[in-house]
Amino acid sequence: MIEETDFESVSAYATYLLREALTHFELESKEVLSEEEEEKVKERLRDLGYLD
Amino acid sequence: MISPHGGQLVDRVLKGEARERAEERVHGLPRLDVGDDLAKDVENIAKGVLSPLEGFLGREDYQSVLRSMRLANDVPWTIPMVLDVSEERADRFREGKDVALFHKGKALAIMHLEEKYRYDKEEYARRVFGTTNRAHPGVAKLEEMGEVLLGGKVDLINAPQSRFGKYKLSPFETRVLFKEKGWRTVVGFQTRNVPHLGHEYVQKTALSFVDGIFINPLIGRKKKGDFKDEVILEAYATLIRNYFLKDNAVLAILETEMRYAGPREAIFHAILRKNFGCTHFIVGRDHAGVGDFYDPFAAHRIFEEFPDLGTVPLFFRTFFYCKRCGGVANEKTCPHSQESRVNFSGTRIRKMLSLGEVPPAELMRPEVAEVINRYENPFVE
Repeated sequence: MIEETDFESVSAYATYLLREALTHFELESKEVLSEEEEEKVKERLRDLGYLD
Repeated sequence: MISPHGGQLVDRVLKGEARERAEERVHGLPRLDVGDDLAKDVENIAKGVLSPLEGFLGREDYQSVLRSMRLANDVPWTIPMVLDVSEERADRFREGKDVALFHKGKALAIMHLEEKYRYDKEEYARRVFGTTNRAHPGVAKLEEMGEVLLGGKVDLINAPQSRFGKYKLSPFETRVLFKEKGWRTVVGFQTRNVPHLGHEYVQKTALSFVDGIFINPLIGRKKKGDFKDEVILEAYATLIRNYFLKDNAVLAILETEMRYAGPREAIFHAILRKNFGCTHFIVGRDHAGVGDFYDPFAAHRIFEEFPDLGTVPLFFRTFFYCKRCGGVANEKTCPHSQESRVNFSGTRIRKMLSLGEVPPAELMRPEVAEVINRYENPFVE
């Protein structure tokens, strides 16, 4: 156990840091649908009651 | 929005003229009729649920997934997505040529057959399920599979019919939905059960740290004694309507079979939810387990091997109702003895429901129990 942390090993801590970093990096991904396609999707979501 | 697994959401759904041409072409191609499970796999590949897969695994990817739990390009992938056929049938198809896939008499997809290969079922069972015991439902299914695997990309022509269309969203749709709701962080919850208070506690604990929860019941082939799909859906719709804020919870289905592959399937489930746009994923006790084939926390430990998974697992251990705390608690939050604790025993709840009884309110919401009890038999026979 690393003192004053919940991590049991250095590799567990490194795993945590890498996972956090990757998740934040991946949050920046670009959109893939055109405006028209996105509108169609929103229409279906409204029809199904997922969007108001 | 979180990036899809492998970097890009796959879209192999034929549209417009391309689809019309494919509809005509299939009649001149060698034909392969597939069952419900494979048809759903085809649809999930084409709609991006299984990104970055664009088709069924070829030999190199298959062996890499089996032995390293990664595709040949090192992207994490733990469950072999394969299309099996008998040797006799495989002889009708030629590598480098297209195959027409049909489901229930209707053109499903065109498969661009890249390779045919044999595989070792014993190795598959040992590596994926950790056992070769036929009492394991995954092993039993494997025994019945054909001897040859077909690898190649697929293009979807007609999606299989779904009984639950209004709950069926593609990753493209959930991503738009989450964006519209203003969710930057989303936790995914996999389930194949009706919700009891312990599930709700886990969901709401996770929800406290993120913008929204994506409750995603798995709809598909299950084993005898599991709750029927329609019961699970109706029970969850009732729970959400009565006990969640509309702006923070989304219920949609995932149509695929349970593999009962325990730890490997936990990673697989996390990847699929990442493709739907989930930044976090709840991993429960004995996730995707069956009987006592897996250590209850093996599905937690396996995540240590995948620091590059790109979605954050949230681990939950055992939880229970504590009479002295007056609420749901877990080993970390409750100081009281076993005598004060009521376990969320699935077997006990199941037994009560099968007798038409209403479980006590500390185990299950009465509205949920009422919905389940409306069914004469809520279980798969």
